[in-house]
Amino acid sequence: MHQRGAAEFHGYEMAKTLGDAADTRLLTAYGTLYRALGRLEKMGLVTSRWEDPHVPARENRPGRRLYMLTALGEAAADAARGAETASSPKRARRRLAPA
Amino acid sequence: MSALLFCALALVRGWTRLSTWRMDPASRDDRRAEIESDLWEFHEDARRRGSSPERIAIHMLARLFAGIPDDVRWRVEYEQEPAHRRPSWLTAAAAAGAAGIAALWVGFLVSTFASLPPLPDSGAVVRVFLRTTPAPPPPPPPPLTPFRVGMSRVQPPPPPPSPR
Repeated sequence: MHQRGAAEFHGYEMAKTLGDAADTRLLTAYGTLYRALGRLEKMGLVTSRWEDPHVPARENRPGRRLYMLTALGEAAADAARGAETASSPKRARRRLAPA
Repeated sequence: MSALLFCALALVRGWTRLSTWRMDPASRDDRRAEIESDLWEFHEDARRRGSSPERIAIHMLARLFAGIPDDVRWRVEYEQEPAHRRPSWLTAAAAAGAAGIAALWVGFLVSTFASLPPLPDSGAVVRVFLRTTPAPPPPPPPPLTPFRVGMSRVQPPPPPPSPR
């Protein structure tokens, strides 16, 4: 999400992005995804807020919980990406290549 | 909506309700609303891509079952947090109450069985059920009535003359 420049993302968007990146059909399970997001929030890597209730009411859908990376989260994401690139450059290059 | 999709939605919602049961209202409502939003987004996204309702339902169920261990761990972690941990006296009182109810139940069962008459030995039971009943008496003979033989009516023989 950070690579794509998305400032805020919701849970399903995250699951879909992860599924596309890993090229898997099955999305991350509900329990796994939301537990992980909850832990990231407790660690201070992301913050969350519920979107303005007028937006889902207008679009006739349930409200989304929007997550955003904190400065600490961005630093951690950059560090993780650097470590991943160093450990497996081929794999990282393949992922970053445009479709 | 297909029956399978209806069942899948009900299962995911039911499990979410169960896994958030007796949590503090804010955490509980957040989790439920988040899962509800995910279900809606996934359903709409899959529908736009032309997936069949059965395929959507199977995917939902797979996501549900794959995440159950993490749901359980998440709930255990929640319960272990100091803010959500129940006081020890409350746990002790609940355990004592449960033990008391169990003891009362066992006592009731024991007293009920003790007041029952003793069971007959199995041999007697078998004898009662396997006892041979006497043969029924033969039916009485039918009364003498005139009867037909062929087309002629046969009369019974006249009684012999009585001696004087």
